Amino acid sequence: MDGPTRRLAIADATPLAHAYAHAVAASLGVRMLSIKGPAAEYHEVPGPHVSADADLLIDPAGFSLVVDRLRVAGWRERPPMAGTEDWSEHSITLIRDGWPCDLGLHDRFPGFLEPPGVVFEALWRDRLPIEVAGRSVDIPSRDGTILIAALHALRRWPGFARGGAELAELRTRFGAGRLGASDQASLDALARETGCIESLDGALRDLGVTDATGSRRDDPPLRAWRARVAAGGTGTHFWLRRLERLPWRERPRALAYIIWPDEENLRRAHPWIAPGRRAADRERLARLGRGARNLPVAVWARVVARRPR
Amino acid sequence: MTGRAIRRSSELAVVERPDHAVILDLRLLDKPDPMHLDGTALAIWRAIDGQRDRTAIVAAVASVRVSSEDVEPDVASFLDDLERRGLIV
Repeated sequence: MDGPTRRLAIADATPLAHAYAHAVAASLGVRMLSIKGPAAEYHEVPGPHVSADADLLIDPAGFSLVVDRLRVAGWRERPPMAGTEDWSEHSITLIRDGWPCDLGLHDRFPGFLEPPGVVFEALWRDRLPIEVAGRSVDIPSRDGTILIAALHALRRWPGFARGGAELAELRTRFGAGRLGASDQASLDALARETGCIESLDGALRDLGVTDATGSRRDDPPLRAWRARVAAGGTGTHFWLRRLERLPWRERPRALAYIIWPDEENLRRAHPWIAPGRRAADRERLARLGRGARNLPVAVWARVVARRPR
Repeated sequence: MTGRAIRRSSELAVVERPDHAVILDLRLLDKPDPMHLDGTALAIWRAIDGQRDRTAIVAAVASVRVSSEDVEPDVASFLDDLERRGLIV
């Protein structure tokens, strides 16, 4: 007979992690929604169904409570590479020894431009319970899951082909009249309520989500979102953004670090690098190549970020 | 059936696969250590349906594994272990 020490497979760990996180939140009286994986699978919404993370959207009012409780329970934050601390858009990734999957804790989801509390209430209102690992967990409605999938895909596009493919799959699955008029109206209404009409920028027109009317001012969050989308979510975009925020005198040193980071930080961001200095140097060169290739798009994204529409 | 029916705790998260199961006791939020079951342990776990007592569980496991005499000590020991952990009641 086998015991509890056997290595846990990701496919088994992820549903257990959802159930566990919900139990933690419930013990604190904090509301939580499982997003992406189980929600997308349940609603048959195209996107990444198999994930190494259990992604959880938490009532912003109780976010810190849940994070603190999980820390007490031995979960710890995946240490980011120095300089990338502000990339995660208000999410925290927690890891724990023996667990091959992460807990991705979000108090907001990028692309929803209304205040996080407003967005959570809208998604929570239409939630539904599903069974994950034999436990009841709450997920957003199909409309909420479609919007999250679209925003997730937009973050990767056009930098990554997969994001474009995910959007195309969404249109194939729900576009071209496959949603009835009332379904289209409810999707459009939720997009308005959560403030993602402008961020979607017509991406779900085929699903009945109307175009932006210009009612939302060109506010900084929308510009930041557009810059991120224009950059395809590449690291180069975030590094440029970080450089811009630094005083001029600090930029040369930061630039040197960006181009050739120290080995400790490099390995923290890329834990799969084989031991040895040669392997680290190979990754540095590959990283530099990726950065150079992404630079034109990232520069253009910064221009987009400054330019009013 | 003469003994007390044994059932699984209601505070478990369980992932069941064709060749194994993984269970997590959600009462122990500070110690989330999943327990992996396969082989005879899995057969015993699957026989715990809330209806069977120990004798019936031994018979159910024996029907899919080996004879009752051979599995009885394993079943008894494993059920004791599960009971001690609070995974069955």
